[in-house]
Amino acid sequence: MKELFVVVAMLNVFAANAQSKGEKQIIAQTYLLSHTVFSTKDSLTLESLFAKTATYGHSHGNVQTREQAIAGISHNLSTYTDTSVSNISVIFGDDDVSIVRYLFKATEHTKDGKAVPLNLSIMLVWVKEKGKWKLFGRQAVSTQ
Amino acid sequence: MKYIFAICLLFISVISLAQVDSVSLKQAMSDLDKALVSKDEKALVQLLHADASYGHSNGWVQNKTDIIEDLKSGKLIYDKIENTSVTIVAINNNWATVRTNTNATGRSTTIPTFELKLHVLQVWLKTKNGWQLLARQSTKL
Repeated sequence: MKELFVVVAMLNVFAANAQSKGEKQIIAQTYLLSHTVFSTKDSLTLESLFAKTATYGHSHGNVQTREQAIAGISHNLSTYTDTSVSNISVIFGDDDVSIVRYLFKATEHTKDGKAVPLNLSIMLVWVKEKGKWKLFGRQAVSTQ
Repeated sequence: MKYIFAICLLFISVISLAQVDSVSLKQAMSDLDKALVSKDEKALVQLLHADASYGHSNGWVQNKTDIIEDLKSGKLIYDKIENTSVTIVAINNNWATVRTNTNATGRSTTIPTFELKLHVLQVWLKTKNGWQLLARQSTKL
């Protein structure tokens, strides 16, 4: 009986570890995505993060395919300062499907010299594909 | 020849299975919208994943308990939820992502009436209890 308890306890630890490892990976990828979108704009990184059927929804309602989103981000002429990611939360639907929510704040400096405050709440859909978490969906909403 | 026939048959069955999936998903989507309007708690318990996360166009996020309790208390009441377009972006045997354009009308304790034109991203999981909404985020169009 005691042994059974130990085995069950160990299995629980394994399961918790697997989840927290997944959670760590997903949070790291979320930060990488945010940094790439608003700072480096590196298309190769985006290509490695985006699933083939990814769709990318902006706060004003337009939705882009993977190709459109990567082209749009990598050619975005705005720059961003005072960026911050906060209130990040991860939900696992099952082992392979996870939802991330976070708040993103920044000041956007447009090419024509305007400074626009950004206050976004962002939902991401990460799905494990061949052992790697890939972005399948993104929807932003403006909270200001 | 017999083999070709068998292979064709196999493809047809695979295609029809995939179609059944999207049909059952669209049914679950419509059932959920109806349950939100009619405050059907039993249907909501069935159609919402235990960890469901329901994000509104002002940034407010409800979990499963919030959705059910806020309908009961009258904090948020829907009079009508109507999709003007539905696109199943990806679907397989475990999950699906859907984008809709949706008109929602209703009332809340802070807003006497609202009439919203929304774009919505939904994530559904296929569980042993059927399709369940895991997450949803809307933004105003």
